[in-house]
Amino acid sequence: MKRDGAKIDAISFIYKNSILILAVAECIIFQLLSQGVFLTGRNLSNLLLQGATCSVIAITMSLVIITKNSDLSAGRLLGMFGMLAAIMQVKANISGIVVVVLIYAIAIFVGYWHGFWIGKMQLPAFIVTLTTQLIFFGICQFMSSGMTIGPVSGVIDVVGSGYIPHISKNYNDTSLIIGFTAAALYLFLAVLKEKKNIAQGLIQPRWNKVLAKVLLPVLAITCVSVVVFLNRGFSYSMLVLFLFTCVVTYIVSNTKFGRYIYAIGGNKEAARMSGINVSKEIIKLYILHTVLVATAALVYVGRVGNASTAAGQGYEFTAITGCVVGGVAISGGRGTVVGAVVGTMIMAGLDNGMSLLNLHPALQYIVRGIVLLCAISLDAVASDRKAKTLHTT
Amino acid sequence: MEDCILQLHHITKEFPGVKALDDVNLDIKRGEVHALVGENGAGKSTLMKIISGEYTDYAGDLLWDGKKADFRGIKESEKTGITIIHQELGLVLSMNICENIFLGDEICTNGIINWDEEYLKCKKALSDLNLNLSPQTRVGNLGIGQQQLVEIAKALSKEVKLLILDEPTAPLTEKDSENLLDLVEDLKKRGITVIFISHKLGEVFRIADRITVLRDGKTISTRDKSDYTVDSLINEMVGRKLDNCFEPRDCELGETMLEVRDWSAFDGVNGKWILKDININVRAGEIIGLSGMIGAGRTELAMSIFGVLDYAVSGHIKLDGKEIQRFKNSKESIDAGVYYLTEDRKQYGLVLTSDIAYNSTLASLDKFQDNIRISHEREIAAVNQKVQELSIKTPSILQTVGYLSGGNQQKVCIAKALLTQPRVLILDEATRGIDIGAKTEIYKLINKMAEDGIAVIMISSELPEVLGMSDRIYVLREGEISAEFDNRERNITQEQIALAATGGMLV
Repeated sequence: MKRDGAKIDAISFIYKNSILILAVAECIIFQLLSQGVFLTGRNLSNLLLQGATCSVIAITMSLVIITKNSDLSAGRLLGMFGMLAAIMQVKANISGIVVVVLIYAIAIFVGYWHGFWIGKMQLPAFIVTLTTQLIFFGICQFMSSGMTIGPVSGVIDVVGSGYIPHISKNYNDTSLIIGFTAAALYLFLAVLKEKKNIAQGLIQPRWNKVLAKVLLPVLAITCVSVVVFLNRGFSYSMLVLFLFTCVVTYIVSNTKFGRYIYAIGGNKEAARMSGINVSKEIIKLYILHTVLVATAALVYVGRVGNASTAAGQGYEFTAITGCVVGGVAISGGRGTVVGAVVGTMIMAGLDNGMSLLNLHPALQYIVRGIVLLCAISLDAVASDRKAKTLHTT
Repeated sequence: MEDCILQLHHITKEFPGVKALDDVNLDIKRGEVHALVGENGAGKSTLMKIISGEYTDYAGDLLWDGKKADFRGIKESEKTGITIIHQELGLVLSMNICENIFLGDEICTNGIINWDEEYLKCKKALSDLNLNLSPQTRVGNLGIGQQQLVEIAKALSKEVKLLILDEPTAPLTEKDSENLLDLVEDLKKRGITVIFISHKLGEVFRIADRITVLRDGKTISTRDKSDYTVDSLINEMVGRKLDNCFEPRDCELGETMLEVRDWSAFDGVNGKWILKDININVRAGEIIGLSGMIGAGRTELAMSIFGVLDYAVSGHIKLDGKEIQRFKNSKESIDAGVYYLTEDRKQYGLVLTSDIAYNSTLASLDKFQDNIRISHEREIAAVNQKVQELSIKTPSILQTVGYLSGGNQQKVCIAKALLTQPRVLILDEATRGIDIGAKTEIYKLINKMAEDGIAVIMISSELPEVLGMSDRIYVLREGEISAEFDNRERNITQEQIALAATGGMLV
């Protein structure tokens, strides 16, 4: 009996802290195997730059998964948006800012298109997006005739590959200031919120537990800003990722739309009976999601400098895996945006580390597949255990 | 000693907290049609599940052909010759008749299905039932009556000795019901013993040889049909005293709040009227009871008013003097002030993985919105207030509702309903699956709501509840209003309701 209890505790501990454990394990393994290259500031800075694209997709991919849907077309869609942007800019000489507006307009249309089939017609999301990814890929090839198109310039170039300006000559001090301010602001707001919750009698005052919960993100933000400070500072793409993560997190926790997302994923029938127009909310979600994919596309094209037909291939997989690793339940109804973004960064770190080691591409695929399978099964085992555990209140 | 095919001695079966069967005795004679009657929840289905081997943990003896039997599952009871046909049919709609009949019992040689023989046998089984259908017809294309016959054909192909029909005519049209009753008489002539469970006393008196009455998990009587009259049968079915958990209430009735006129719903797939020409109304501050047997269309009526029934609905609604055609979805209905509290809180009512606060405000978020932001302060204050008012027992309103007891879950549903500030509240089996203490509390809450001027429609299968709570009672039978009673003096009896609900008068 005693041993059984210990076993349950071990598994639930691993499950609850899976992101942290994975991140630490990844760092140690790659640091040892790459003989100290993985954890250099230069590489980490690079990783954050590369990971930003997929992480932007993951922001809303998590919400899509929470509603028990999926988007397998995100990668090819990113490729198509990138190609469209490059062609508009290079071939038609449209200025960067206008291109951004046009791409967003198209994104809203594409999002509505997905939402129509999935939300309104109630077709399975994975089939719909599986078919549309073919269409997107075809359009992308058709427009470019298989050629690489570039270079992009203007606002797209700056946001994709630029770094924020700094005051002193050698170091990006503004990054440090921004990072520390963000950390302090987060600490302040988080403590304020906990205090309020306790005042309203919502949770028991256990400050050591609260502090652990609050300090971890603060530590993470501080570490990241120090690392980038010692290199070239924050890239604009990281700011974009940060900004959108905050905005979507706010939407999720403070608007009707956010509430409804979780209700639809948790119990679609109950949502319908509560006066929620499920199809409408799904359409809204897909529009938001496609706008985020378009953002990721612009960041991607800006970073690489040109658009090719191969762009974005497999990104949907990285984003979905990232969501699952970050604690978004495939069975719907559970998960957070921040978790998904961090999870995707971990997956980007996995890719980065494997490339550093010059691992054979075939092996990389196998490793990524195994990681997704492990993440999903851990989620399944944990919720199964939860269901079988008696709860006393 | 008579020749009994099946004998049950002192069967007792307990579920956590409830004694579903209490010392039940039942003898089924070989070759008879034995009817089993009783109210909803009397224990009929539980008893049948024991016979078919679905429940194995019970006390008492089950004798098959005079020998003690101990079925460890449906497979074993089927092997001995018992087949049960549930109200929800166990057919795979996407497969054809022949595949369905031999499903799980295919005629094989070395693992290869012998289709020729299967089709031959299937044809014979169908023609035995005078069913002129090709074995290759997809079952999903058949009407519900024919599907039922296919299920019976499946039973016959397994050489059934005892056939149990659980509410077979409930989903059928009148004509299909006639056919089925004829068939049962035919089966009897072939020597097959039948246990027939039905709410419709007319059918029972037509085909049964003997009748057993179950009530509250006990056998009340088993006699020949000729020893019963409709009145005595109903008396034995309901013979309960009113519980004393209902308080009298000042009936200060206001204007008519909700009026439903010429209300019908049609199931196009099975070609059957689910509701027909229903006219009801409820006044502000009034509690009306909606009674009737399961399957009479009570839930369908409520859901169609609420705008969430997936059938063709026609009719008119007048709310607080204002003519409204119909609510197209639950949002329109909630916004107008009509709320339906579902009978199945786990499937349709709650997001079990979320907390109390989240669930309580899910249907009323509009009221907590400043611009686009939800005001957590007002939300939490409102939920806290409701938690106190309804005395929901929980350490915090951030408790996940999946971990609450049934009674508290139901109260969360009520909190959710009240936060929408309804003018009309439809409660569907509001006290199902909760203990007596919580029930009494919920009755008080309902009385309070009515005093606050809410028009309450209460759907319930428990007659004492209907009689003790409602000012007026409508009885539904087979999709139509069969009676309306004025119960302001609380003087209507269970017998009157039961008579109207079962149509006993028509015999």
